Amino acid sequence: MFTNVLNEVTGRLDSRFILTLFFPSLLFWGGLTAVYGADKGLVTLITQWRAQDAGVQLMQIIIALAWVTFFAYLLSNQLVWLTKQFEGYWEWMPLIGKRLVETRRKHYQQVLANINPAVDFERIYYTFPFPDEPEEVMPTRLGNIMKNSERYSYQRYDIAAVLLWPRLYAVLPESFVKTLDKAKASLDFMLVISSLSALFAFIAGIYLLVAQGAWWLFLLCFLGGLVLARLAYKSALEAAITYGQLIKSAFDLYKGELRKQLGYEQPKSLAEERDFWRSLYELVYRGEAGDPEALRYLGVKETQPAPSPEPAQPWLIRWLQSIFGQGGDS
Amino acid sequence: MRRLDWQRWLLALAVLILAVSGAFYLYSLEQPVTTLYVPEVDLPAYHLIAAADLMTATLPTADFTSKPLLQEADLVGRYTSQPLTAEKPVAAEQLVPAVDEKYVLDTTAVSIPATAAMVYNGQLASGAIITVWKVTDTGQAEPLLNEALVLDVPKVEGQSESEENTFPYVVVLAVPRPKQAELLTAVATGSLTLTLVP
Repeated sequence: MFTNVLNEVTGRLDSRFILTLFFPSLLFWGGLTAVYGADKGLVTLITQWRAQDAGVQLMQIIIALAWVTFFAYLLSNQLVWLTKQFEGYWEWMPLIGKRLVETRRKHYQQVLANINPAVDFERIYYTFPFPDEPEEVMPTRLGNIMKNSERYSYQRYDIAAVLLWPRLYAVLPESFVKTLDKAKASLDFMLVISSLSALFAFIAGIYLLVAQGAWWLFLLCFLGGLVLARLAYKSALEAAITYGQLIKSAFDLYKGELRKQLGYEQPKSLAEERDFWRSLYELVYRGEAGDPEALRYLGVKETQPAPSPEPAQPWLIRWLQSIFGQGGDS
Repeated sequence: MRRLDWQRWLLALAVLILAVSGAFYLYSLEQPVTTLYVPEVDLPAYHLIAAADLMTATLPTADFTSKPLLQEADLVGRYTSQPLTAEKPVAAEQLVPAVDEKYVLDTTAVSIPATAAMVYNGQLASGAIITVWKVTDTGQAEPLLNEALVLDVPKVEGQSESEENTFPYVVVLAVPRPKQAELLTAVATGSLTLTLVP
């Protein structure tokens, strides 16, 4: 029965949503329920549950799955904020935020300063902003890996990655986008697991302290949750390096495609290319290029994209429509 | 050589201290517990305990003042000899001694006034099986109730030694429901006597 309901619900949702958000949420709430059950007597609770009417059991399963889905959906909306916290954007924290950022930043600036580029440049290439930009160092390792990929295009080509990334993404080939999405999903999954594990450790720990649960269960949940959070974060760092390298590759490989799509002539040297991207940035951002000569406009041959058979809609709307119909048909 | 991240080590140490102190706090609270059957609600004296009156509870063993009855079978089908408190362990002294279930099946507690002679001068006690006899106007004794369980034989309260009372005792019996009316009529109209079933 449970499997049928699960298949019914999960069959209608995006596979990425299920893997990255739904299953971690299911594990999180399942874990909390198991802790509550272990404290109250798991056998008694299971016996009481089994004694209920099948209809009531089904209703409870549906409510539980709906709650987990809702929680996962909330989580999906907070994924960017969550990633930023792992990157070290903590200024919002009252009293300690700025101080914490400064202390951790100083630590990593010191670490970066201690790396000898002649011996260990690989470490800089993958995990730190470049040594000539110590002000770009972030308070966490994940933040530095992401900053590394963000600053790469600027260092090499004077391309402002944040501004031009949405445009570049639009011209990336489908196979590359798929690879990029997989890397991002892997990073998101690890960050969600890490944050939910830490949350589980604190919620279960506080509950067991208040409810005066078993000491070994407290240790298992509190330390186990935090160790899992740490391991998942370590894995997230590996996933972030892969994701960062793909972003860097995207600029290396497809910046020419973007230039062509925008209708500009190919620069003849690296110096000209840097002038081109800097001027394009000024044009896009301020509406006026500092050096108009650098942008030799050829004109564009606009291609109308083929209309998609069905407009892209969020998974929740698709799911509701599949249950209740399209609406307005009657 | 890599720079020592003292802040990370400090955080790890804080987490470890938190974990150990929490576990130690919970360990200090831990005491041996016993899972047993207890009344779900307060039960009056001379109540025949049914399975529906009971629930399981896990209680600290140190709180038990006397040896409690643990199993459901130790309690079901037995009469209480005093009021029982909900969710508190039950001791054997709080119940009428266990007898064959035929003596309690479909019965209810009925009390009858008794003379000192009827109660064997105070020797009749809870758990005894007796026969209740009705003595007719013609002086003939007829058995009214065969093999009834004595639940209790309390002395009438407020009775001083100097005061004279025909019925200084009360005998509380487990009486089959169909026999109740007949027994009560006999109590009101005639004289009764009791004999012990060997």
